[in-house]
Amino acid sequence: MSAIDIKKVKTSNFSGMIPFSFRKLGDTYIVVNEYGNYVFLTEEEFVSLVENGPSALSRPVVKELTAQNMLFTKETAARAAERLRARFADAARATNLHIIVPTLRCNLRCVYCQAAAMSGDNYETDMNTDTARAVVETIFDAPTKLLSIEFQGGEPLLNWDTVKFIIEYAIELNKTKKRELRFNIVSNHLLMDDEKLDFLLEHNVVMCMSLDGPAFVHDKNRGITHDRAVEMYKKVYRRYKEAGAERLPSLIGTLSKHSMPYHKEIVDEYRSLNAGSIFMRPATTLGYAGRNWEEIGLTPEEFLDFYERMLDYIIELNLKGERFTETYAIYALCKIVAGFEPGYVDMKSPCGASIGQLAYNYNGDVYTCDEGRMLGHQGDHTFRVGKCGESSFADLIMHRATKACSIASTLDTTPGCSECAYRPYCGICPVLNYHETGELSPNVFTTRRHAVNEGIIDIIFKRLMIPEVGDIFVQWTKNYMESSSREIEGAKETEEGKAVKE
Amino acid sequence: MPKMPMEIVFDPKIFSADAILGACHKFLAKCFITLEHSEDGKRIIARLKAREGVSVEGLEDEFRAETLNYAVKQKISKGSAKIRDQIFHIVFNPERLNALGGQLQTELETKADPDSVKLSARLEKLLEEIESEESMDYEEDPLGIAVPWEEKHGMPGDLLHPVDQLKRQAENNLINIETVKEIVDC
Repeated sequence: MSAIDIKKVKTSNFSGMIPFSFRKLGDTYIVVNEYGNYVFLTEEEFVSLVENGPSALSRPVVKELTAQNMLFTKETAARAAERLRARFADAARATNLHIIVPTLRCNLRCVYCQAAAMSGDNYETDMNTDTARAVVETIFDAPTKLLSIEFQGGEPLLNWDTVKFIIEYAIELNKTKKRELRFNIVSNHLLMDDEKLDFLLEHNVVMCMSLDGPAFVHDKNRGITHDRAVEMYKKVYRRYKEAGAERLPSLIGTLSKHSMPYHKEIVDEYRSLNAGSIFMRPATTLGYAGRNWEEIGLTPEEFLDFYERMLDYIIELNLKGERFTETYAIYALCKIVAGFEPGYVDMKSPCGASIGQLAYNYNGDVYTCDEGRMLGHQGDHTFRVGKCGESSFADLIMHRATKACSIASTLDTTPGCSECAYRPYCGICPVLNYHETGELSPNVFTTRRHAVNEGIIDIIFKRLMIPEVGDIFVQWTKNYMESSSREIEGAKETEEGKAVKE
Repeated sequence: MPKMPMEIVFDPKIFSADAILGACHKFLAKCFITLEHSEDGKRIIARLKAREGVSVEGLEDEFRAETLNYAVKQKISKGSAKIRDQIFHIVFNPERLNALGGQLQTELETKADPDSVKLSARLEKLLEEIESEESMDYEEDPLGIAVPWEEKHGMPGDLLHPVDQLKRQAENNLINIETVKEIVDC
């Protein structure tokens, strides 16, 4: 039990302080202001702060609180405002991530498939050229300079003609629209051939391949495909490197119960492919994963146990001089260490639904996000915000589902989140909440996402208390921010966009 | 083994209903909870019944600690509410910043209750000393505070390296590095 005497805690103790919250980890209190600055205090210091106000603290503590923008002065107010502005800047920009599903067909049958992909002969779930044209035109309706088009599936390469058409048509339209256009494709690479590779390379399409680890993990989740996928990835990687591509192919993985004992082996597999970083996300309850949940699903505790082991192994590698990073940690560290919004839509407030990303289904239906689209595939179209060729960008953004998601994912007004010390770093997903509980805004303490996010941030803060690990974390953050700076520049609004708003 | 439902009694003069409700909200995943006034109306009684599979060991202590956390957080939020408003003003209108220390300070003090916004004399003195030690001339903006980080193409102006932060805290005996290392088995 804490030694705080609540009778001594007066509101006037905080009248000269920047609003803050706190969380106790072990014997240390993490005090976090609303804008993400933090300070570690001992229990004695914390009790003194809340019972007597900052003026009763020792000079070094006051110095520390000042350095961390905890006391209200002209300078700290400026810094707090700067952080707040950075945090919400994304929400004021038009959508720049556009996820297209050129087909629901897939050549794999992964045990956790959230996309609920169809078998290879369901050609009716292929996007046709007319729909593809309407999708591209809807995307260009978004008044933002940066337009990032990402192909997902199904397996996008199964509808190669449409992928090719979309890229070519977008480039054609861009001759007059003058946007900063980027293309990404998430694929299992199994259908990659020289013709496709030449085209993708020529058009600077960034490649991302799904890889869950070494063969004995990957194949258990995704069928016997590991060796072929790795062979293709190596080929793609080599070609991109030889061509001097600005962004090299990357890998992304999903965790299932089968993966649990193999944190080292999974990281080592990524290292052997020169990946440089790893991003392993837990399977969600959407799609086929929900049906196989008992067999493959992870509890938040299981995921966090894996995550902690994996992160510590990566830290160990870094301490030995190897540069290898973990992506969840980077996203959180950007906010914790630097007050920088990395734009990861799953850990944002409000979340990225419609305002950060839009998902375009094969038939032209537009959803708030890919999760919303997946739910649509299960027959629930709550998160469908329009249809390409019929809806304007304004229609999509003004749709009630967009508004509902923005409201439901704004932590500042969410009970349980609004008081949380981790609010400046966190995010919730109304679509998953709705799927798991039937409510957009359930009691957050009952949700998986809450347990996972809180656990990840706890793990990161515990390691930030270790000086040599803090060093590594700051280096990761700096490198990430440097590589992202151009994207942020590109995300600024166009004159056209401003005019549309006016 | 504690008896179920366990009764936890609060004095509403010390713990507001909002603080108790906040703790209840957090505990709903673990317990079924009912709240009512005592017969004389002077107390709030929370009755907790653990859900299946939830350990009842330490439940009362946890609930009391959480209520205390909420009560403290509420006071912090209330005490610093006017500053929150001011920061929002500055976000949308950076010119507001120039009024701080002058017109805005006066405005705040006249609008607010007497304790509000003003730092205590001791704290102000301490801050002045720290400022003069570090020879910070804020008018010249040596930290580049007024420059948005986007323009700097690098780390934001307020970045404090966590290692430096820890070192400084350790030098000043604010934290014990050994204790910290014990917490994290890494």
